[in-house]
Amino acid sequence: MYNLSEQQIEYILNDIRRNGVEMEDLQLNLLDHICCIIEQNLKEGDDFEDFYRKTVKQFCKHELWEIEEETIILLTIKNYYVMKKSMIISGTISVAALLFGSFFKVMHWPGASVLLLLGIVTLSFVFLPLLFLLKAKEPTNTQSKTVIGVGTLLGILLCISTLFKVMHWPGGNVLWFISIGCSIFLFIPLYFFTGIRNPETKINTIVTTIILVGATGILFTLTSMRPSRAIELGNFFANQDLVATRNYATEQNSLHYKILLNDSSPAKKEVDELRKRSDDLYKKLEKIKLNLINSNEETNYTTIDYTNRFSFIDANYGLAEYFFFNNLGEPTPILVSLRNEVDSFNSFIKTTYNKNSFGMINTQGTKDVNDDGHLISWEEFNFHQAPFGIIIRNLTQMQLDIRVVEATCIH
Amino acid sequence: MFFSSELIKGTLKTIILKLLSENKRMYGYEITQTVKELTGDKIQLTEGALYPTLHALEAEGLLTTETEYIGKRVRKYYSLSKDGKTKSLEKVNEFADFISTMKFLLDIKTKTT
Repeated sequence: MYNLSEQQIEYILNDIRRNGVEMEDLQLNLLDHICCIIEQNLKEGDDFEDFYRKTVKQFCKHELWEIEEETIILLTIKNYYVMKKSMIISGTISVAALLFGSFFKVMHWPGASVLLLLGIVTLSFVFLPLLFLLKAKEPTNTQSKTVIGVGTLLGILLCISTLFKVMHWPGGNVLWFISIGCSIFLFIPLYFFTGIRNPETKINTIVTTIILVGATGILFTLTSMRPSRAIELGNFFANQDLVATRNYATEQNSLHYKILLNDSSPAKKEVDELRKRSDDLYKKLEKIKLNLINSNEETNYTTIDYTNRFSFIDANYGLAEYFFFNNLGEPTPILVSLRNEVDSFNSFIKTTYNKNSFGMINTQGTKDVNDDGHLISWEEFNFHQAPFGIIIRNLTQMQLDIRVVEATCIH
Repeated sequence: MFFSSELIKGTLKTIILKLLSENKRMYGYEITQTVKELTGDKIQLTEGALYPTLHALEAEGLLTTETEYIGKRVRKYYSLSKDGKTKSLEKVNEFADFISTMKFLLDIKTKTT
């Protein structure tokens, strides 16, 4: 048996490395293997290097690195199947969850949100990334890989913004417009100009581009930027009616106040305070409306012209939302202080005139009849994600409510 | 007579798994030598096919490994994992079935031609 010196072992290892075998595991395996062959077959006095070269030559067709390549191929093929399998499974799960989720949503059945969440999360964080990895592995050029990468990111973005919109999470609109914008100005041009250069894919590219533009256009149209004209007009007239009733109630109340206050009745102090508190809250509501209209139209009105229809159209989309809620969906100081004043008005009415909740301004919120029946707070019900005109109308309604409460107290 | 590398490639996993089920642990060179001896030089595994397959089987979790120092160099011993033991039986049975099917198929062909 031949005895290999340390230098010879070192020499073999270096040669393996030099021949492009980089996996340490494989280096050591080959080293041991070659050493075994040499120890078994080489006789003392034979030429070591010559024998080594001949041995290695029998290992593979051309060069040693082929062994490593073969190893990597075998290892990745295994991965490839696992990935493909998980891609198909995750895709099926997400499509099923999305289908059932949207059906549940339309039927207003419980569990719709959970299903949609599951579907969108699986689609965007498991299926699409896997699809990208598998597609990127295919032997294509860098340009197509870029298109696939951008497309995947855009798909994920679209899924997430849909989720935000469906769940009514804050920031949904911004995300949605970013995705639509990226699609029109980034992805579609990239796709088009990459595909059009290749004569083989030219026709396909043109057709797909048209479909993509059309689909994006439809998505954009479906994004209701503002309520329809009919709803805006309806809000305007409803508000006008409320204003008329409100004004009438104000007039009637002030007539009653005159009688009561002339009477030198023992309740004069109470009546005075009732009048002052009601007027304060009433004016505060009027001021909020004025501020809303002024910031919406960027004007400096000092009073609201309730006959001007254009004051009730939301020029600045989402303005009312930012007026009452911050980015985290928490009420702004304006809304918090309004709520405090309504509460304090209510507690005054309760203690002074001994009214139950029906005799006060309703701050209980309401049950959501559409969804799972959870309670919608007063803030959410009146100000959250409502069209501009509806918020103005709700504020007028509150003014009328004050007058009605007042009337029940002084009549 | 040598068998072509194409024929051996398709059965390499089975050969390795079967050998390891009969021997507690083996290293690469030992596997090639054992196969050579058992088949009377008819099947000679090439290193270029053996090591990739060993690595793949290890990655699949069918083989476990332990390393031992032989002087300055490292020797990697392979043995069957629990999954490997079942897989070995499966593979051998599958191949036995394959052989009988091939026998039948090729016999018929030789008769008709």
